[in-house]
Amino acid sequence: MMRRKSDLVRWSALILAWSAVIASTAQAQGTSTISGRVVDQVGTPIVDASITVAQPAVATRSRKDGRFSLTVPDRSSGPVVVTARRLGFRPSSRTITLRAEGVTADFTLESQPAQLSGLTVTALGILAEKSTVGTSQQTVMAEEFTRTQANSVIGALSGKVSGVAINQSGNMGGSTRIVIRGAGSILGQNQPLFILDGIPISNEGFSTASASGGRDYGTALSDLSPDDIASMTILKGPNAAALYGSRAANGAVVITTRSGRNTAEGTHFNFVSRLTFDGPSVLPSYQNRYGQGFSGEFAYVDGAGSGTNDGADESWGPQLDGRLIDQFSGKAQPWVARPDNVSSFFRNGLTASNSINVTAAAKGMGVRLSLTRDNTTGIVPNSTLERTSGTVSGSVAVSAKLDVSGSLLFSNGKGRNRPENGYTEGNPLMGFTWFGRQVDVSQLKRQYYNQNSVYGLEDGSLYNWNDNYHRNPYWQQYLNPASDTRDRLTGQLSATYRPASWLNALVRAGTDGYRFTADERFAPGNIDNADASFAGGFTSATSRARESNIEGILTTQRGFGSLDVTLNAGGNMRRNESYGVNFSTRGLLVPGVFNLSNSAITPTIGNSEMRTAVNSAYGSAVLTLRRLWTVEVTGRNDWSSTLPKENASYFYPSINSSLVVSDLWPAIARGRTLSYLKVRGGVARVGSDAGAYQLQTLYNGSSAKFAGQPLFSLSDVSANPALRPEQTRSAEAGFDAAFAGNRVTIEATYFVKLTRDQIIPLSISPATGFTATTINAGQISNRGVEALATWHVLQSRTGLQWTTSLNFAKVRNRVDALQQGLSTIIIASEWGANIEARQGLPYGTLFGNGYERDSATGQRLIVDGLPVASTSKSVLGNVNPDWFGGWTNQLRAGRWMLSALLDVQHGGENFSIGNWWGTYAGTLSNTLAGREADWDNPGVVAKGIDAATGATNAVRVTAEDYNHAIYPIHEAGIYNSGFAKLREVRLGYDVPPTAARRLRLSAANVALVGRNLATWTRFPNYDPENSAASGNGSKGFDMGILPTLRSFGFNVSLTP
Amino acid sequence: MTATRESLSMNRMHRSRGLLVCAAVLVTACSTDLTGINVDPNNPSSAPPAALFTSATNSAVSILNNSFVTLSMTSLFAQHIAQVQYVEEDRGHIRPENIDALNATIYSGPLADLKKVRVAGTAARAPGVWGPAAVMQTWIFQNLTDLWGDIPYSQALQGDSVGGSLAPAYDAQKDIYYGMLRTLTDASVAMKSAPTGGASLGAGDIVYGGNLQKWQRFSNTLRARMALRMLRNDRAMALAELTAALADGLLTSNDDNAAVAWPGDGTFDNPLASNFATRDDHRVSKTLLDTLIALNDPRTSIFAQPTKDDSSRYAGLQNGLDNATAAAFFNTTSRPGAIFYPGATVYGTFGTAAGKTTPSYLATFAEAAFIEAEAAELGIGGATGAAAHYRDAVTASITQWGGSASDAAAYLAQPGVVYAGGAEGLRQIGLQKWISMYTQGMEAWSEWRRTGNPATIRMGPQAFSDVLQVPRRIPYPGNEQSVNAVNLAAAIARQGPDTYLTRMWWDK
Repeated sequence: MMRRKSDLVRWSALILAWSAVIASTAQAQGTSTISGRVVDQVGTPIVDASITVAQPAVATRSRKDGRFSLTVPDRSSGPVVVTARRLGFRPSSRTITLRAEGVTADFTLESQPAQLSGLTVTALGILAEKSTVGTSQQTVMAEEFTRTQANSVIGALSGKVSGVAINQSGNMGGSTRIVIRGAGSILGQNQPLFILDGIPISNEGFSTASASGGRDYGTALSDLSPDDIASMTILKGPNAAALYGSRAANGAVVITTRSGRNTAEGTHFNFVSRLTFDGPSVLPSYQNRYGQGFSGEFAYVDGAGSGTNDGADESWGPQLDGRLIDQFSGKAQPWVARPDNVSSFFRNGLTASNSINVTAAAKGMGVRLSLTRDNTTGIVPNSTLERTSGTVSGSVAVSAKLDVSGSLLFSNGKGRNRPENGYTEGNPLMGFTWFGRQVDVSQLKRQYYNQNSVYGLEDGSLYNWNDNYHRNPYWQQYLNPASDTRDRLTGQLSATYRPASWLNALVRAGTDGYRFTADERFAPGNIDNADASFAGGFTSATSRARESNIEGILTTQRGFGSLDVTLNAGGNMRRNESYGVNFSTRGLLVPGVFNLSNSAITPTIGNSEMRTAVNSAYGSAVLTLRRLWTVEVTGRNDWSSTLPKENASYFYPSINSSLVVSDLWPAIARGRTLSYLKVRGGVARVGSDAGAYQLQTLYNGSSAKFAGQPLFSLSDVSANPALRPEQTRSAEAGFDAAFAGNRVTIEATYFVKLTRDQIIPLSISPATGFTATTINAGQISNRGVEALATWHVLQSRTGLQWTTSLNFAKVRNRVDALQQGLSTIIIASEWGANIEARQGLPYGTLFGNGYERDSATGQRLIVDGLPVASTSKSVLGNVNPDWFGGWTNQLRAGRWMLSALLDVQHGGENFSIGNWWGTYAGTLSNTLAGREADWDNPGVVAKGIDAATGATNAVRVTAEDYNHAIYPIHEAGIYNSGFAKLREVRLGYDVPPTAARRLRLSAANVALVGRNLATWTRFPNYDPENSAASGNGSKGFDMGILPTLRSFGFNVSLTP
Repeated sequence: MTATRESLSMNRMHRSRGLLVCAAVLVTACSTDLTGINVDPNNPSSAPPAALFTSATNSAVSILNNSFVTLSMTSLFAQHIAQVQYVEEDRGHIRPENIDALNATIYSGPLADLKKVRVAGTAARAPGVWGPAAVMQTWIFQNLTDLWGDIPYSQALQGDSVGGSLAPAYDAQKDIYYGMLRTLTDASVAMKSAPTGGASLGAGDIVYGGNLQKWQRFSNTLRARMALRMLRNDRAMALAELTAALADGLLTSNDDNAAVAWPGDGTFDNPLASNFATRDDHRVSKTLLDTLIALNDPRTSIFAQPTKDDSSRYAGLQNGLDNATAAAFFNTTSRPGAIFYPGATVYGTFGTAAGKTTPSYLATFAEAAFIEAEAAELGIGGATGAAAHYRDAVTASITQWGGSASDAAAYLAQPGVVYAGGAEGLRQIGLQKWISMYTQGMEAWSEWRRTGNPATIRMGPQAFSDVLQVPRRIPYPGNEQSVNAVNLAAAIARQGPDTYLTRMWWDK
């Protein structure tokens, strides 16, 4: 290739890997120097800001103290425009007339969360000028997700990023489910990939919770302290993430931690303290007119059926009129309502979070240390969570050409007595679904334990309101202790070598590992987990897992006249391994010793290990013409261990482009309205491998021996030795526009995502001998729009600023095709109702028994006064919201800052098992309708027509019979799960520097914060936003899930 | 740091070479075959047939003789048991999710495992391996078709075969019966001619410990059981099968009983005892207990306990009462017997080691003798001596449940029990067979469906409006509407509406 000499000279510009192209002109005619300082609104130096002059094109970056110096080769061409930019800040430009003796230009940058220009993180952690990015992404800065105390950094994103749906739970340290642009995979991971400072980290879900039991141990990302994070960038489509490989088919969240290097020289301390008080945001509305029993009758003898209906755990008993009735608390007790018997079980939760961090920076190096300690007291009695985490990170410029950096993150979380979830004895909320309305919970609290008896009472029996299916909730929480510990260690080392100005080589090795142990101990009398013949039981499960990555990337960036070129080539080796051991026994010999050696019966033991490996080679080319038209092409080839040899290698490419229309035709932006317009679009394909060991049908053994004989059973899932990689194809198109001199910005994207050849354990008729078979099948399409609009309503120089920001996403999701002859795939199932992927319908269709209806009129058919379940199942709803979004407002007045976030999910349905059984059990307030004082005069006339005569039903039935008839009619438990929540409110105050100095502080900020302060929903009794796990089946069913927490608190941030 | 032209050119060359080398290293490193590590270190891809058989038998019996299928379904229909609280099933409604669970576990568990044992045994030409598996599998299929009628059979269990159906068609019950009879005949013939000392399941056979002669008798007893069931609707086939089975020999003593003896070790316990250890929802049915009391039956105190309120009194509970009505009888009716249930009422003292080891029965000598008695009384199958078979059967049942031979003799001498012969003899055979099948709710219910005996079985007074008669079958698993909808619809079209009262082929 021939080049002109002048081009060769142009190449001599210093090119830094992460910055924009710099080119210098051949003939210098009198140079001039621009020097200055870049600071933020409160005067803190901003490091690594880029300072550019457009014509002649020169650039530099600010140093640790925010200072910069820039030499302009030719000062003859008149005034120049100098722009300072930094990721997370609004760019600032000044026009400067150059002088031979040099000029000074200082910049004060205002932080700006939503921005259309400036630097932004793209795949592989490469910083790029946002105007050159062809895909949709959104960056959230630290100040936005540390505004209030969410239960995890992901929970803190809720409502802030368009197209990102987040569901969180009220469990302390509980799970958070995040889905970007709708679920694409039928049964696989619908979670995005998380990248921490360049290396993938686990967001493994540890929750065992479902609508039928288990505990919510949270997701791995909650190990990160929000105070260690500088920014999170959400790469929404597979387009943006094509270079991260398979696991980013559902998008990627790129997390950048704070580092010592971005601070001014010297040593800096910062101390942040948060204190929040938690309570349940929603509790059911109970009826308080009728107590426990059936048919208006109740008298307690043993709580198991010996008395009059005393085995009943339902509230169809006598009217709560103060009459004297034998109760668990004694003979002839006043029969009165206990309206607070559920709410008073909960206590005030408290979360205290303290973190301290130290940064030390000197010439060419920086170190940051941080330590965070969280103490959480759960709203359920006797539940606590402690977390300690710390980071050490540092970087050193070994030479002018070599930079080395590394970081180590450790955390330890300890949970105590996290309550059980779902329809199980150990879940207090399950017990409350059936709780007799006259039960005095304070009595249960007082006497749950008696020194002379493990059950509570002197005669050896449990002090309880009902002995058939329920335990005293205090006994459950105090005498059946559960504990869990998670240790996490994530570390990485990287070296960047610049052998020449235009070439950059990066080698990075990282590992992310954790060890997790969950113990559960069961007192004698535990119905589900201890054999009644022995002295209690216990379970213990430990898992450890590690992912290691080694990556090498070569980058070259340079300009050819008006064309800027960036090339990347890289390779990655990923290794995953995990081990698990679990053991349990239902029978202990000596009470109180929870050791296998004390098992009275043969314990159950299991162990497992798993290994997978993926090697990858990838590359990308970015061409930018005249800084306004960019084309990016990427390609990646993976070699996976989990696919058959002949299918183990697969390639996937992407291409995207962006065009700054307003720069191409400046006339457009000359009007007063439109000031900036960029259009962008791209297409991508992402391949994906299978899980480990899915190519061979296997046999499962058992540690238990039947009278000494070993047992083996064929797996319930039949394997497929010919699996192919699955593919996601996507296309997106959108625009970024600014109006009224950048006061209003709008970013909008339309996207289509097709996930096909999915590797799924397809549910098949069990008559095949298998409940599922592993196949490549199906296509799910997600089509949708996402938009983000920001309006800087007020930007007064006197300090009054108001910014309002709206984000919105609507995702149309459809199961286009499945396997031949199959019309549906079952994703999850509870009580005979399924969440399914049905062909032609949205992913997440609720399928179950409706009311039997007259085929002609659609009216419910009534038999003997009662509705009946349809004999065949039908589609009853769809768990996905119609649209979701958030509305953020930020008001700054001088040193005061008020912000509020409204988080909205509109539409979608849940099969609310909690409402279903609560209605059946007569505890919820909706069961008062038609209740009768006189049992011979029933009060409910069911809506519908008599099945025999066709006439409008007029048969009167009791409320008890009517509400019992809703089982097994799933339709009776299906409700719209849309909601709007006042998710965050924060009132902050920056202490004036003079006052801060008196406290020997350089800066101080205090704030009042609140989360989930209000919920608006049509969903009855329970929190519609419930996610006790991060898996696919965790949305759409709810049973006894703790409501999200309503919190109030204080934040204090001190910088000495 | 402005580079000179010279250094730039050099760098260019270096770059090109560097890139090439790097690319070469990357590609070689990356494309190394990784698939070798994809071998599951935890689970094998083959397993010993004996271990599969043990697992399959344990789980088949745990599923079909457990508290759901027995206590909350078939024993209610047979009116051996009644529910005193949580009475949905006794009023006629089986919980759909339980039906789904039964269907899912029985096919994907024991039936699939037994198929693998049959395949391995056939490949090894070892009737001692595949024979018992074929008989065990047939016992399961017979239970399933007697529950639902038409079920997937000929196309079932092919989910891992190339070209195998992932949505198996439902076979007509007649064809299933024919298929099962053929399987049993083949197994009987092969096991009879199996060389002594040939491959067997050994101690992995938790029914007979590898005794092929007993398997053959069990097989023949199942054939005879099915033959009687077909007698009304397919007489010629029934007679031929009955004759062949009787000629080959049924179970000959209680030592031959096809049963799983539970270790009672806290892991493998009698499933009914496990239920009684924590639940107190069941009582002995009034229909059964009234019969026992009227006949002064020595099994009364074995099958039932005295009431809590009056320790000298036995009283059964009327089936099919609603919650409030049934609850009143909580302490005035008899819990199931001490064989499971030590009778304590304070929570935490339920369940004894003895109860946990009570065997679960698949087929008994008593049943075999009742079959011979019935055949003799009807003059079919080459059987003779109805009275002697009847006495053997009643004696076997009483001793099976821990009574003595003298108890049995005294009982058999009583009016009403002493064999009368003729139509009354047939009624006595049916009644005693029904009594003997306590804990075998499925067979007791099927026998009632076949003979209508005892006639005292009537649906309870507070039954749900769509189940006003005793169920003749149960509805299909709802899950099949999702995963096998077309074939399910075809079965319903052939057999009749998917309700409790539709009669299946042999019950028509």
